[in-house]
Amino acid sequence: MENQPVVVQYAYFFLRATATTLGISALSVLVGSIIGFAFSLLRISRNRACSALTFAYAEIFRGTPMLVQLFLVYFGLPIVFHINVSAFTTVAISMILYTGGYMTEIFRAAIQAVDRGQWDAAHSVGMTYVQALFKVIVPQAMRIAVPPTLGQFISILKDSSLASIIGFMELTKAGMAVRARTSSTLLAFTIVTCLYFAICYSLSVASRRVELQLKKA
Amino acid sequence: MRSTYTFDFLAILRYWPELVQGAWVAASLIVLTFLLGTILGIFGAIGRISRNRAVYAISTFYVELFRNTPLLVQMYVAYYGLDALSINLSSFTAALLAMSLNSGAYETEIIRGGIIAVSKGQLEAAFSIGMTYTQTLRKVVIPYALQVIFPPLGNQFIGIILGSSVASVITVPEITYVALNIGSRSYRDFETFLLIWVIYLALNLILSALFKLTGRIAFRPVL
Repeated sequence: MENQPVVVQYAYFFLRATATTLGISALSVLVGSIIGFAFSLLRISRNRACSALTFAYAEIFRGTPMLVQLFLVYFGLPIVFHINVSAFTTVAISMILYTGGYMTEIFRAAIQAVDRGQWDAAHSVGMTYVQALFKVIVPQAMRIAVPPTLGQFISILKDSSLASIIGFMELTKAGMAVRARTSSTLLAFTIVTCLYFAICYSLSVASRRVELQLKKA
Repeated sequence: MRSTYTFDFLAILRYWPELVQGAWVAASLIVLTFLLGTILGIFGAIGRISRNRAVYAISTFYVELFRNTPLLVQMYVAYYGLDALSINLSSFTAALLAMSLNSGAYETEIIRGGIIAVSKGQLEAAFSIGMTYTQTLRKVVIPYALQVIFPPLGNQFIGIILGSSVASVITVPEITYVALNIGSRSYRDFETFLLIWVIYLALNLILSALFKLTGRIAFRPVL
């Protein structure tokens, strides 16, 4: 084991870290999408307070660095709320809130991108606001939201590297750990870069393909 | 369970000269990154629309590499990676290098978008009314391309501000780094981060409003 090259020795370690990076990013987009979807409906509602609050939420989380948000959760939970949580929980909370802000805007834009005539048509066949929203508008908005959601997944996958700073063992942290243990800095960085690139590049190619297919349909 | 935490913002106020110093470092980093990124972006865009295969391949590789890897990893490579190759950059220079290359990749795509938005028809129209090549460039291509790239370039500037906080990780004494420093000395980490959180937010809201206003004044609908 000791005499094997670093790549072989730490292959499993890197694979597990990559899985963690993918997992935490998928979790953020999944839960962030639920928050974003609910908030986007409030955002377009005629209730001023709901609309203003969800607008503020999206602006606040999109207008500040994720690193600062991460530190706020990291310092805030134990000091202010006396809750001691794991690095995973800290990272998950801040990444979900951060992604939720972006997903709110993505769904809002998607809903508003659906042709206004669709609302009129739905109303003219006697549908209520809620029926028109969920049976006519949302299904179409969902299709429009697919490419930007994939884009958000790629973006959060890269941002998840910041979780390494508070000690969460994902891909970047794994690279730094191997660098410290083996002192082969360049090799560790090359492996990490290649793994991120392979994942993000294939996702962006897939995203472009989906976008083209949606345009055709 | 009741929270027993009492907020003390006054405790961190006496560190204000350090915050100002940090803001100054952050501002230099952000502005220099934007300038260098724009220069890289112009060359990158020319490369991306070039018919020369090698030039196209190199610029495409550059764009894809920097847009598909985390900024943090790019900073680590610029700081620790180059150090391993015996190229010792200061933390500020390393951050500037990584951030400029990163921003340049995004700006390449923005500027390329602006160039290809100018349709062939507009060029033919300009030539047919007797404009010379330089006149067409000055009066048709550049104004229209600028109008297209202005909004995404503004977003990119805000993206650079958000990204500059990552430079704290390689010990660049910008505002997030200063906040960590003040927090650990005053034991008021949470308040310090609330403060800089508000600073970042205010700055970005003001700037994005300014960009929108400038865009509206400078680019009255031409077509």
